[in-house]
Amino acid sequence: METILNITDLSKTYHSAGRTLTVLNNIDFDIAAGSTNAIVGPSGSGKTTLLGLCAGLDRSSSGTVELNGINLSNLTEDQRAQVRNQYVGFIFQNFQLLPTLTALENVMVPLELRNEKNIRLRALDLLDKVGLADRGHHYPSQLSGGEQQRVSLARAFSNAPKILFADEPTGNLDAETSEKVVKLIFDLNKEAGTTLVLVTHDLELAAKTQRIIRIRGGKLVADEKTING
Amino acid sequence: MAMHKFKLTIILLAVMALAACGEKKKPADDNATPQSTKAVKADTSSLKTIVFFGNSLTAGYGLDDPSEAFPGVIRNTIDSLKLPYKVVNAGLSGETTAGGNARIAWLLKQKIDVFLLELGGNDGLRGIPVTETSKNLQSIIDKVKAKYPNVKIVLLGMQVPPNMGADYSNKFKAVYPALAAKNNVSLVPFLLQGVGGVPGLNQADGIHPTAKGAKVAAANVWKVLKGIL
Amino acid sequence: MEINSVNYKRKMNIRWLFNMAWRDSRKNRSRLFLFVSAIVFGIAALVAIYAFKYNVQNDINGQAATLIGADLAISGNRPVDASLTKLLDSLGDDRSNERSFASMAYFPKSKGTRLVQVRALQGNFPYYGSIETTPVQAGTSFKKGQMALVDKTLMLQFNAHTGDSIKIGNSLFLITGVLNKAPGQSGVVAGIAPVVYIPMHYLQQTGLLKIGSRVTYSFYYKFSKPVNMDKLTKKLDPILDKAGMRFETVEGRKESTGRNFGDLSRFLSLVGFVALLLGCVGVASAIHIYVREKIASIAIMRCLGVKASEAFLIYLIQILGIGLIGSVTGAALGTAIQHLLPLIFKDFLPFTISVQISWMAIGQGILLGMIISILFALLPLISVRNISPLNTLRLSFDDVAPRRDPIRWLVYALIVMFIIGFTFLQLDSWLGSMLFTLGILIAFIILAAVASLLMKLVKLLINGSWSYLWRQGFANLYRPNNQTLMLMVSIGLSTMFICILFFIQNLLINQVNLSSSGNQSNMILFDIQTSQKDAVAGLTRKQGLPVIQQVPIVTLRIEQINGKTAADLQKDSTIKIQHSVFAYEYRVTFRDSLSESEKLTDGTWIGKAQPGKDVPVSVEENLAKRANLKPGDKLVFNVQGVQLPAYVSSVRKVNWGKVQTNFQIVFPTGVLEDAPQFQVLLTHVPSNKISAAFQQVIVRNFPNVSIIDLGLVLSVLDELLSKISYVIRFMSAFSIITGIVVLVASVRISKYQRIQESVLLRTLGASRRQIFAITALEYLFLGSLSALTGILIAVGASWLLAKYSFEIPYAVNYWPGVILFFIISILTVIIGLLNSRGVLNKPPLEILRTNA
Repeated sequence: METILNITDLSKTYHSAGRTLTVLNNIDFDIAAGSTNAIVGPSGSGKTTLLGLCAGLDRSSSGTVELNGINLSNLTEDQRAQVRNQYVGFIFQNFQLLPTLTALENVMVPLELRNEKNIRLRALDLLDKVGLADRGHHYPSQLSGGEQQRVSLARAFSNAPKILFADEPTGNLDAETSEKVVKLIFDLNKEAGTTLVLVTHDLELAAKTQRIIRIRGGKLVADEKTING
Repeated sequence: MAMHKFKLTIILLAVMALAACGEKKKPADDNATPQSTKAVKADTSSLKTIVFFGNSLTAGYGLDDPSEAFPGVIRNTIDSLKLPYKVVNAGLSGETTAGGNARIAWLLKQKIDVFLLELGGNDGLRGIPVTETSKNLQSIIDKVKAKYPNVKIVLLGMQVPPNMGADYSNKFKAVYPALAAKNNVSLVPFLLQGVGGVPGLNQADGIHPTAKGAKVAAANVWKVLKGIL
Repeated sequence: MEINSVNYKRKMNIRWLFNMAWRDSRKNRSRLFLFVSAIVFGIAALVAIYAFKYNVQNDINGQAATLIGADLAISGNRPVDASLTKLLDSLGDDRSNERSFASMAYFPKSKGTRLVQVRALQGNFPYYGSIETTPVQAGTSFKKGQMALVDKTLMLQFNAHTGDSIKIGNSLFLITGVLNKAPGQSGVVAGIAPVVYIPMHYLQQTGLLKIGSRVTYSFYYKFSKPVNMDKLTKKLDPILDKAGMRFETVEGRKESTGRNFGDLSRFLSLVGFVALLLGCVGVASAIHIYVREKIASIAIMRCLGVKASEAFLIYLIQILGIGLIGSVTGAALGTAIQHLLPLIFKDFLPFTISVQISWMAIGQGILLGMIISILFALLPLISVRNISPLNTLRLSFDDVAPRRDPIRWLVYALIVMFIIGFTFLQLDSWLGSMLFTLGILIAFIILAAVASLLMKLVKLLINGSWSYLWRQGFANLYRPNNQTLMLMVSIGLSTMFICILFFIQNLLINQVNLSSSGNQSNMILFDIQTSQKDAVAGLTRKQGLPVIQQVPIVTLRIEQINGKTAADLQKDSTIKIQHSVFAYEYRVTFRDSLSESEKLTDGTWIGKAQPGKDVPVSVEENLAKRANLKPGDKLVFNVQGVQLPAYVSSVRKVNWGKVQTNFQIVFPTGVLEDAPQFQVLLTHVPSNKISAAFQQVIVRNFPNVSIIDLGLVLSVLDELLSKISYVIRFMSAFSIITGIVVLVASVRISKYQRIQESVLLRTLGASRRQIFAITALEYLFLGSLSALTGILIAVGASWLLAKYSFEIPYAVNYWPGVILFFIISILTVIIGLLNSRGVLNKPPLEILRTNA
């Protein structure tokens, strides 16, 4: 299997008020292209930090992150931004739609950044896939949480990412909506052949992936295949 | 027939600094040796005293050296002739007949043998009624005579310029011969005879005689004075 | 493999950036409107104030021109020769001739005779202002025949009426009008003799112009196109000087008219500076908050792969757009205000302010609005570069910008340079601009320091024993996302400006009132003999007139200075005494105390002389300089023959700007009482009628006393001064009002800061009253503290301004400051409450949704 994400000896420490706080401690793992993975752990275990590092949103203190063969540690923030734009999709717990853009425009942004063609049609198509074709002109504040997360899903897939990072995608949603959104994530993932990295403390959700990486106190404590794997 | 505007109110106002009216006059820019107004009470030698009592014409306003004024010229003449007279210049710029009338007591503290009265010009330029001028001059003559019955008085005649109007200037001109006749004193018909209207004999201000003009005036006076001495 | 297919050098799509900027601005237009309105108010204030300033400056300059009535006036005491005539005729685009002289005028009807100043006029003089007469048309029509204009007081004095005649020299003139006011009245000459205008054409036949006549020849010029007067007069000066002639320009007259023109222009500069900063406060506070709100969006964009530079540009473009719209709208509004205000207040204005569109003001306003927008947007925007996209994962907005970002300092430097630059446009002095900017910087630092001190203090002080409302209200001052610094600075600075304008206006108006004749002498009686002293004063009082001053004047000369005489001076060139010191006849007075217009600069004042000892005298600063005198120096005076040994006991500074008697040398009492002297009496006559009656009485009782009536002269000046004082009041009132509007706008934009919390509290069941109380407490505290700080800074700043810029005594009424404190505090609370009103009147969810 081809490796899309390679994490080697990754550590992250914060310095605050003269004290050093180690959030991640010597983490090592690979993620295979096209696989679905969950990073689980209790609150404060460092999983969000890990996600941020994997996606190139932050710099590690030591160790390397290699995304699609590109060592993110060597890149500037602007270069990482372009890597993100080309290979990475995001879904956030609190959706993180641009509040001043309509649903459709939110989906269009990654495409526009890449100067692609037929942007509007493709974005509408994506919105249609998440079942929001008729809500394209609405602003995020006019949408429900579930709808917002679906828009963000459409946006995440708009650039046909090689890898999708989802940070507690259902954390702010009720059970029923969660189920719909999760189904969408997996469906779209399957359809596009995208690699999925999911951060959650919801074991039920994690169980839907092929592999579960457990983190506690900044350390990788378990890495196991699920029945799906 | 010319007559000069003497030390007028301008001088007074310069002191009062009417800056608010845009009037800001510098003090006269003459550089001079000290005025030779001899201390009145000084020197009680055998010399007799001639007092020139008058306005700016006597004081020598605007001259490099106040002793260049006509009393100074006459003093030089007296000195060169070795006549036993001491000259006192009691000229005061801007003096009117009323002012002279009030000031005369200050001068009479000292013995006077010959008294030359040169006042009235400022009255004329201010349009003061000629009766008033005449009255004040009379009063001055009376005071001098009362204190020193043997004093010899010379009245120096004045005229006002033609722009004051024929009526006024004729009346004004007549004051001096009338007073001289009435009091039986000597008269210089017009002090500035041959000076007024002659450019070279008048200062740049066109008001006061130059040193050269003062010599002409002194000659006018000397014609009368030499007979008395 | 596509490993290396990442195109790091993706080209920037400018169109997309504009598109994003536009899209981002559409949502919540009302909110955007609020920000734009703050810019609009800031720039409108600036443009209106600048426009008024430029117009008013032109007006006042125009008014100043009426002081001489022409662009250039040349005069001399001699007829001009042919070559000079040629030169004089080559000047200007329109020329007038005037001959003036003293003469005894005769009123046949009342058989009265009086010294007048005859002015024979030819040409269209005056070019500025007019010869104001009753009836009006007489001012120009008198030139058409053998007619005269006669001074109002003179008419009253001789009970003359239009239609009567006046005899000048040999000719009778028909009095066609009463002269109320005329430009070009040169002070004293016009004062000592009332003016009578006649046409030049009839001058010869009066028979007054003969050899020996004392005549002033004047030539008045108007230049149609602006001319560099300085250059022209510099060229003319030696030629005219040789011919014994003088010239006068409007500028020159303005300078000699006293300090009021200078004060006005300094004040207008100050107003311009304040307007500039009001504009800054309005625009900067709006932009600052606006950009801060965009930080979250920027983090998301970064996540999606937007480069820092692109995010930066998107918002820069947006700010430029907002700045442009705000500035243009502001400039339009400002111009509209400038045009409408004088119309609205037309009936209250003592004169008309000309309303010309000032493109200079508009241009500066728009440029300024754009630059301020960009500069103040840059501050938060440059930290965008450092915003980690990680912020999307964590909702923390800790200070992401490292404290020592060098670019940040560059922006600060740019802002300071910009303020200095624009201040220079107002002040025209680099040093002044830097000092002003430094002052603002210090004010800013003080306010910021007070704000951070407040935050620390409140944090320390708050404890659980306080009621919830108090705790919540005060905690708002220091909690994250607080508005303490922003509001402290904008309220504090605005209050400071308002207060400074109040104080300085107050000081200047007092100064102007001092110079206007309303409280000053406008009639001088002199040559009063000592024996007449009490009688004249008594008569003055009996007429109901005040004896403003009555002083004895003694004439004397200086004979020796430290043993040196004029003779020594000629021998020894190293003596630092000017020759004129010995030649001048000094008019001195004696009294036991300093007058209001005097101030000691050296030595001690001694009011009474000890008999038999040297006399302690006080000399005026300039004389001290010319004669090289300092306290302790020995002098010998010659008091009309009597030698009087004296010494310099003090040096005085004299304010020569008032109509009153001032002296180069002042003696103590007890020395000169018996010396020959005369008295001068100063009084104020309220009207021509009273003046005429008073003059008649004085002339009848004391024919030797001469009178200078400055009424006519001062009335021209008064009109100007009242205009200046009005302009100062108008400009400061206008600036103060706009200052308050800008202040309101900058508090208003804090509206969204507290919405989330208020809604949350509302959701948790907080009553209307509780939310009001919390908001009120926060704003009351902010408002009052910043107002207080601002006012205190203003007291210091206005003191400095008064002392060093205006050089006037600092005597300020502090009550406006106290009142301003309450107004600003209450106003802040009211706006704060208005801000939260929206929250209270709508269901919480609706607000959360529209403002999320």
